[in-house]
Amino acid sequence: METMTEPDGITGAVAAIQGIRDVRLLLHGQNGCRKGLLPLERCMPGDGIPYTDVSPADYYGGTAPKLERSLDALSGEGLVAVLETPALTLIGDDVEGMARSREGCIRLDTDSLGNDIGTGFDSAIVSVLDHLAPERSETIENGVNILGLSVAHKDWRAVRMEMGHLLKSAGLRLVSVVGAGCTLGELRDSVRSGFNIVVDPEFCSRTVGFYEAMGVETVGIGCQPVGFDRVDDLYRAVSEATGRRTSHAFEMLAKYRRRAYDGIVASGKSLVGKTYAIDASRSVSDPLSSWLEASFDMVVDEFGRPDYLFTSGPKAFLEQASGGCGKGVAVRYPHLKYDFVKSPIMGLDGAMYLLDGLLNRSWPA
Amino acid sequence: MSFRVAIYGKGGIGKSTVSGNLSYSLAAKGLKVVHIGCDPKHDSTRQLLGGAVQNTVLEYMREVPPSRRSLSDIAMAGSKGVMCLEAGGPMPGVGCAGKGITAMFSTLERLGFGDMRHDVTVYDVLGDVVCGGFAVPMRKDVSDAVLIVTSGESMSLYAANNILKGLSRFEGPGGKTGGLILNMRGVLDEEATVQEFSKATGAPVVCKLGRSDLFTRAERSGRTLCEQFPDSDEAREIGRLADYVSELASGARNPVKANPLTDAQMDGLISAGRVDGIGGYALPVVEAATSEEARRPRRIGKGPVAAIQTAGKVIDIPIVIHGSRSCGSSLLGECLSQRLSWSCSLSGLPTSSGSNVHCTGMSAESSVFGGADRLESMVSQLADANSTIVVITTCISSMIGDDVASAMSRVMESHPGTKILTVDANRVDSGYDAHIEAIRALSSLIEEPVHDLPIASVVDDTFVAYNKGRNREAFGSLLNVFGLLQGPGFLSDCSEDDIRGLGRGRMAFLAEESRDALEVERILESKGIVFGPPVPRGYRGAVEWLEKVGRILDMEEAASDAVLRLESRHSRIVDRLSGRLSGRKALVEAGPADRGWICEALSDCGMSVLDSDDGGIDIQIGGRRGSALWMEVPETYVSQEAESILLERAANVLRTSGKEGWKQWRR
Repeated sequence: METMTEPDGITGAVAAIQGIRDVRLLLHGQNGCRKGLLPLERCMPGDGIPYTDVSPADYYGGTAPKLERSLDALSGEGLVAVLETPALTLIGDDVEGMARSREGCIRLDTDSLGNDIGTGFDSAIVSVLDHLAPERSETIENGVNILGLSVAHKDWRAVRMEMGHLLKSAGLRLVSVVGAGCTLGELRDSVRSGFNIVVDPEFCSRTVGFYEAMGVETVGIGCQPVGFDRVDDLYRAVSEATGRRTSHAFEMLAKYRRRAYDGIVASGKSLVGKTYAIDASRSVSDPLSSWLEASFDMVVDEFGRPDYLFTSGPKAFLEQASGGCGKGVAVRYPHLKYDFVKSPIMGLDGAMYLLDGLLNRSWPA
Repeated sequence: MSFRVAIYGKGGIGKSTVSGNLSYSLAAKGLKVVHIGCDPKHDSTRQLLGGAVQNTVLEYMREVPPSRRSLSDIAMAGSKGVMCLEAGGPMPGVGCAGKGITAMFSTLERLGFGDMRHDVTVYDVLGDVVCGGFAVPMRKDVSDAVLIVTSGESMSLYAANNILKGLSRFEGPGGKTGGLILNMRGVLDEEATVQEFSKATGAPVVCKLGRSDLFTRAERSGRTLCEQFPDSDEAREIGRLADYVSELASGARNPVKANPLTDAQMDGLISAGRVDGIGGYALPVVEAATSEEARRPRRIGKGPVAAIQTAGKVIDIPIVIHGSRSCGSSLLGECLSQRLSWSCSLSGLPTSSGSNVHCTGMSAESSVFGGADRLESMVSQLADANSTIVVITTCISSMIGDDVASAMSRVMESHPGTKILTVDANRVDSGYDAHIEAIRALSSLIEEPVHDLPIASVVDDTFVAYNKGRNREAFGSLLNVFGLLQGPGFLSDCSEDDIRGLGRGRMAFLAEESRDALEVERILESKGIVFGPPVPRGYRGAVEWLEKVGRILDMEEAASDAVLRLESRHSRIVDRLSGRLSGRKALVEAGPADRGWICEALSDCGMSVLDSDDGGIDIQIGGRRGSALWMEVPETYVSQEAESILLERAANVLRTSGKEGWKQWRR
């Protein structure tokens, strides 16, 4: 039975707005609803997510006055995105009208955010882009954007840094990482890029459509670049599409593979026949399972107690502590800690992080 | 761009009849008309469809995924080519019809309704303005004018006035009141009363219909009166109404800004048939912004959060959250973070992964149609394998009136061995009250007490730090003085069996003596649980506790020996640390439960405890950081363990400069 407790579209929408530096989110709802979003604040520390602090009495009295007050308080702080919690949509207050009547204010439609974090993120990004209505004037030479990366992805900063470096080494200019530490100015410029490089298709299907309609082509591999093989695929795809040589990326890939090889030999461990289970979206589970099986001869668990469980930070910890798995490895939101040490799952550093989880005897991340 | 007119009025006043006839009449004049019924009964378009009942927008949304939806599937062509749509809504007694209306408008917009080329849209809206959802057709961006059907009956006029009040929220300077349609019932002074209302509010009477059985005869044949009896006086009057609406649409005439009456004015109208002056109702004024309050986040949980913080501590009872997926996700996070913080500070206690928390994942659709069926189905599945289940309701399930109690009764009837504990977290305002509701529910599992085991349990440690630090070990050593072992807590990572067997222990002790904890004590005492004094804080608290429990258990000698050992240890701690602490000044910003023992421990070592930071303090303990050296209130608070941790930490902090160089890295 599906437990329906995974982060949903609202989480994705919050992640999207948190990932755009000069947009402020206003959560229209109760404090209890906001509590569940506190882990996202850890992904992008700042002033905290403001909210209207609706009380039970407001459900029958109307919530407009509190929303007005909060919007007044945030005026002058750049673009404000209002997001109602599900219960607030039952009241029928004209939040859309209030947002439209104020300059620099948009409303995110809660009902259209969908059931998973990816569709919510995607929908919110498109809402911001629609509001900006950027124009594609002259193309930025060798300009590219990264799509599908959010502040909720594991160690998104490390992904941004690594990809930024490898793309630059190929002579490409990274115009915007849409929704992961970008600015409104970068978003305006993003439509002038030649290509969008998709790192998580589940987070950007509508966004891709927006850009394609403006003439920005899409490059991707249909999943996250998890594991060395998918990283290889991604940079080949980038090279083919853009015509730029990504030789440095392949040099780095070779170095990382060598280092990984040395580490596996030194560990003296074999993963052959070890079981795994992946509790994550398809864009993670597809490439990860392929890599585990092809590179290490691991097999998917059939008996309900895998040797390795790839899941969210808290679940990885608790499943291991309660004996539900041999080792829990954190690969997705929500996260248990702040990543001081690079710990993404995408890219070259991502592959090393996963190897660390597989082969080192340490408490789960 | 279509001219959009919304028809409102008291339930049963004849809105559907009037609006259906209006739509027909407009179409008969050559206009392209769309008629939208906004009533869950979905009977507005029958007279335009020859008596047929059409598929509703909301049912369509339930059955067809978004990628396959098309406007042509839900719009039917009626008489004179009027395009007919029905919103639909939930069955009587469940769900939220108002939410259905907002959902319908969103769906129509996404299906491109706004791009269609038609001349007039007529909305036939349910009854009075009862909530925000049913006011959607009044909004600026949804309609251009509002017509109100009324009679001379007082209730109908009250409803009309209420509608004008609602409309005043959405009008611009120009107003949107199209006027009043008088559908006469033959009551005393009917026309005069309505005219007086019209004069006072400024809403013109734009149509007058007398009582006529032609309407009924036409309805019985599944047609509008205008179609069935085109040469009747009534049809001609409706034709004049259609001309008026056409003039509004063309701009030849304009809607007005009406002045709703105050309650006193309405009373005067009904009792005396007159109103002094014009309508005096004014919208409440919105308070000015308070920027700091609006911006500062708070971290106190309410209702469902507190309920899951409590119920989630029982490691093997499944929990079902009846709410949106967003609720499920955030409440699970709350539950897991509780277990994580304990797992990190404890060893040897069982824990669970949180995989026993479920959520019904109420969507926009279940908000409209009700979610109790899904809840019943989910709980039934769990009841096949579990003897106890906790159900926690959230605000959505309460707002739409889901009958959770009946649904759970049915599950228990079909699963006689299963007990369902429902925590209605929305009946209460505060987190603590929700916590008590959850405690009450869980305490119903406690079996008849027999007190046959030498164990003691700590009770109501939910909101306090008992499970952090070394409190359990410290308290355990105090219990050992009397030959008692520390049993499972109520509720700290306990199991269902632990709760059932709570009465087997010798005694129970409250983790802290707060208003809420005392309420929990009362609940458990009613189940026969025997309580001793609360868990002590600090060295002196531990001494008092030992003496009291020694008297209760008639083991004063053992208590006395333990007190001597505590005193001796206390002296050694003070001797060791006084040299580094004596003469220093401290500010203590701890809660009332901790302040006492902290101040005593500091004073014992020769420190001065000040009431405020006058610039001369050496260290601040707890509270918001100021300019002085700062340390947190220790997590360990039981017996001499507490004071040694506190004093050692204070001594260590006083050895530092307090500058924290990392704060410069931001530059």
